[in-house]
Amino acid sequence: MKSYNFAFFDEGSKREIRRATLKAIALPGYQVPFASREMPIARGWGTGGLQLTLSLVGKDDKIKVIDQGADESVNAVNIKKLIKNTTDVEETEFTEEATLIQSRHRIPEIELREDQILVLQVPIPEPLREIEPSEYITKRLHADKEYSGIWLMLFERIMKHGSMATGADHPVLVNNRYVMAPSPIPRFDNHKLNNSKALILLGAGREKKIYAVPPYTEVQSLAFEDYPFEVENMDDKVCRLCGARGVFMDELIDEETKEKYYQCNDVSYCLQRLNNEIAN
Amino acid sequence: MKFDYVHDIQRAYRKLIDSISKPGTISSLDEESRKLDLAVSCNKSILVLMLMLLDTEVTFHIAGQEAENISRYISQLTYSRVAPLEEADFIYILEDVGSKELESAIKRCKIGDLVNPHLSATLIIEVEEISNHKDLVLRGPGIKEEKYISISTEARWAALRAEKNIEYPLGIEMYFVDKEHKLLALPRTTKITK
Repeated sequence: MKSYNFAFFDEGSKREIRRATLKAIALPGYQVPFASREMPIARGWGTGGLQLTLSLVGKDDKIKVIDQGADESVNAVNIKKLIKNTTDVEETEFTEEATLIQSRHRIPEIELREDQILVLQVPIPEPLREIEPSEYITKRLHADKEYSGIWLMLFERIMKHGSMATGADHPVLVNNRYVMAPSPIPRFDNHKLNNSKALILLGAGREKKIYAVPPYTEVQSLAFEDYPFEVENMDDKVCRLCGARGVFMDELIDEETKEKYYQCNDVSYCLQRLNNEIAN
Repeated sequence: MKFDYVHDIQRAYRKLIDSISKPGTISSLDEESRKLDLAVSCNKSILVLMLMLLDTEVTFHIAGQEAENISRYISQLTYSRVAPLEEADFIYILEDVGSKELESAIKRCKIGDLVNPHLSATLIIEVEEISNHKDLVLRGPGIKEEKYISISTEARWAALRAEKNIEYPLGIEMYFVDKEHKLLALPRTTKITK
C-alpha cells in the first residue's frame, strides 16, 4: 500500500472532511453536508465513519474498530486492515488504550475519556426521513425546529403498539436545538451520548453527512411525560461467560438444549473481565 | 526539521479539534509552526491554519498591513480565492490592524442562514497573548461547568460576538492565535460572561 498517501486520502479530501467536521462540532446535532469520497468498501458499510477516521488519524494514534460490539467481525476487521495498511498505526482491542474508536452501532461499555474520540457509522442520518422523503423539506423542517412530525410518529406507535417501539436509533434532541439520529445504537446506549466526556463524531458516507456531539453536551432521548424513554431491560440478565450484569447483552440459543442464554455484546469488555484486567 | 504537509497539518488539526470541542482548552501549535518556512512574513501558526483549511473550494480574506502580499502568496500556494470580507469563508485578522478592524470584521462577516447555518464565516484572529487567566467565563457545550480565558486585545469582540450569534444556530466561529503559537477556539455555542 506504499503507493497511497498516508491514510489513503489525498490531502484535499482530508481538508474538505476536516472543514465539515469543524463546523459540525460548532453546531451540535446539525448534519453538515460533505462530498463523501468513493471508498474501497461499499457505501453503507461504514464509509462515513471511515472517512472521518482517515481525516483524523495520525502516526501517534492507537485505533480500535468495533462492529456491533465485536472487534473481530468482518466489517471491523476490513476497516481496520485498510487503516492499518495505509497508516501503519497501532491497533488495540482495549477501549481504554485507544485514542480513536470507530464503531458500528455500539458505544463501548467502558466509559470514554476526554482524550478519546468516538466515530460512529451512520446509515440514515436524517431522523425525519421516515416522515418526510424530501431532503429539501427536511432541511427546512430542521431550520424551523419544526419537529411535530416526529412526535406524531412516536405518538402513533404508542397508539398502535403500546410503546414507542423504536428498537435502535431512537431519536434524540441535542443541545435543545436539533433532533438527531444517534445511529442505530441500542436505546441502552442513548444515555452515554448525554454529557459524554469524549467527542462523538458521526459520519454517513452514502448520505454525505457529518455531524457531531461535542463533550459535555445535553442529549435527551425523545419521550412523553406519560410514556418515558425506556432502555432495553438488562437487569435480570447475566453473561454466561463473564457473569456481568447491567451491560448490553446478546440473546443466544443453545443449539442442543434450545435454551436461551446471554452474552456481553461488547466482546472486548467481556474478554477483559474474563482475564481479570478490569474489576469484576 | 522540515515542515511535513501531511503529518504536521494532521497534528495541528487534532489540536484544533481538541480546542474547539472543549472550548477554553488552549493548545500549542509551537512545534508545528516552528518548522514552517515560507517566504512570507506572518505569524506562523496563522500560516499553519491557512494550509490546513484553505483550498480551491473555499474563499478567504486577510485583514492586515501586509494583507495584499500575504493574500497573493497564499492564493498561489493553496489555490484558494480571495473574497470580500462579507463573503469570505475564512477571515484572517492579523494583529497589526488594530481593534477597529477586528470589530468591523465581526460585524460584517457572514453568519449562514437557517437552512445552511454551516455556511458562515470562521474568524482566525492573531492577538498578543491568550491565557486561562480568569477574565472571561465560558459556558456551553464542550465545557463541564465553566472555563476561564483571557485574551489581550482592546477590541470589544465578546460583546459584538454575542450580538452576532444571538440567533442560534446562526453565528460565527472564532479561533485565536497568539505570538507564542497558542490556540484557542470558540464555537458559536459558547456563552461568554464577565
